[in-house]
Amino acid sequence: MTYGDSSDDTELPGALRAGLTLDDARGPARPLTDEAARALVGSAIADARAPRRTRRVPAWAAAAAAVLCVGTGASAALLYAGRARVAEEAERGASSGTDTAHRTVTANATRTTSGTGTGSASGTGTGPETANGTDAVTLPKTAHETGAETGIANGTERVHGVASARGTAAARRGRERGRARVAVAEPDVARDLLAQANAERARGAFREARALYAQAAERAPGSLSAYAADVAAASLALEHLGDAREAARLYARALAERPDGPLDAEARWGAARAAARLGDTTGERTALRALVKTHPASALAPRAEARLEALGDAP
Amino acid sequence: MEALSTRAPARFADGPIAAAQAGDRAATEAVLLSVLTRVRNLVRYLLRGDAEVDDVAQLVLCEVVRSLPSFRGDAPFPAWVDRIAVRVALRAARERRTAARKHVEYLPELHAHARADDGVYGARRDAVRCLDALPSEQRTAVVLHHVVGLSVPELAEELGIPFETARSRLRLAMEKLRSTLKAGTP
Repeated sequence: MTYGDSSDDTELPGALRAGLTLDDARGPARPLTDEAARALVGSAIADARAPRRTRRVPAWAAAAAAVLCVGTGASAALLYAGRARVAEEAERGASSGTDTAHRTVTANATRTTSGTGTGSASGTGTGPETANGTDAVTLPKTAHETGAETGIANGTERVHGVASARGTAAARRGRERGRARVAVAEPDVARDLLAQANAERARGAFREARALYAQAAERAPGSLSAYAADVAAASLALEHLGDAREAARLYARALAERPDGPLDAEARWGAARAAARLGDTTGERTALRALVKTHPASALAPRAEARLEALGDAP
Repeated sequence: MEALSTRAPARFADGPIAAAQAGDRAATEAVLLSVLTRVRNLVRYLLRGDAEVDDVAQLVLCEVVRSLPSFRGDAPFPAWVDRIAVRVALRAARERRTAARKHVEYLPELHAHARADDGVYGARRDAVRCLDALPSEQRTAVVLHHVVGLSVPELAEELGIPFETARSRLRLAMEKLRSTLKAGTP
């Protein structure tokens, strides 16, 4: 395209005209998943608020964080994990007395599916590709809801699985609110710690970030936040702290905690990297083979295959 | 809604952009999402390779957010964003050329699967492979002129170079592109 200065020697070859256009169609940038797009946007907004000249969290880490932050991340994690895992989480929450908290968290997550990721980083990649990032997820009834129905029928109340016939309705509501506030505190704290860790990471304060990731994992063990914190801390150790051994340990822990977690492919990839740094070729091969076998459609699978080939591991 | 900034109220009447200018976070996210694909595509045109597209796109969006209060609607919003993208991407490219590159063999990717038979996508991917064969200065000139749509005088002004230098870069780039196409896309 020229403007009043047309000249053959600056005209674009015909074969390239169709390929050099700018619009919202795909290309030439490789397409982004919906979750990664929301994470990138969230991270940009967070960066805009941060003081200038601070180190940004890479877009890939922000995308991984969005998968696991409460809100967009939680809904994405639910999508990835499937309804069976949703039921598993609800069951685990009910038995530990935090079902109302879980319900509140996941309810908030589904309401914010359109994109409210904090954009802060706590991971090393994205979850597996999904064709549709906005499928609705029906949450199972919590033990509280089920118990309340049967409790009312039985003339007793059941709150968090605990039978109680005491108190007026107002007192009962007060106790429920109190329990809900306490029950949601830990996941919220872990999420806040993740956000702080990401901010420290963005500042280049890697050791402070590592400590905060560790705290996030300790505050809500077994949770999605802890899982994200482990993967994030592992990548931090590997990429910025020169501690491949620690990275290997954290990746292994994340993989053990959630064998089919939303960052499984990335964790296996990271584990392979860590093994490579440690000179553990066997471990590297094992991680890469598992990645290819478990996530054949992942964007990391071709890279893993290429690396295996480089290692002399014929498919 | 969480306020994003405490800057002066919006002067631009367009709904979502005005709301974003007023600090409405949801509106800001929506506005950024609406231009994200375009920004990433432009960044990819300007930069060699896929590895840094998302990082630079994030920088662009960050700058868009910071500059939102200054948007007056004199130009279409996407075109306004394009200028920011060009400025940020070229600055990033300069910084990366002078900085030591890290080995990024294991850089994870966030990309959805793109069908190989997608005509538009394929044509654009072929085009950037041709662009990847150009020296940076020529590539920049081609993208700003043929993709962003700057005239040669505008191109010269944008890059801070004489008019003839701008024309020369375009001419040399076209020669290189023609020979690249003749030899088969790299």
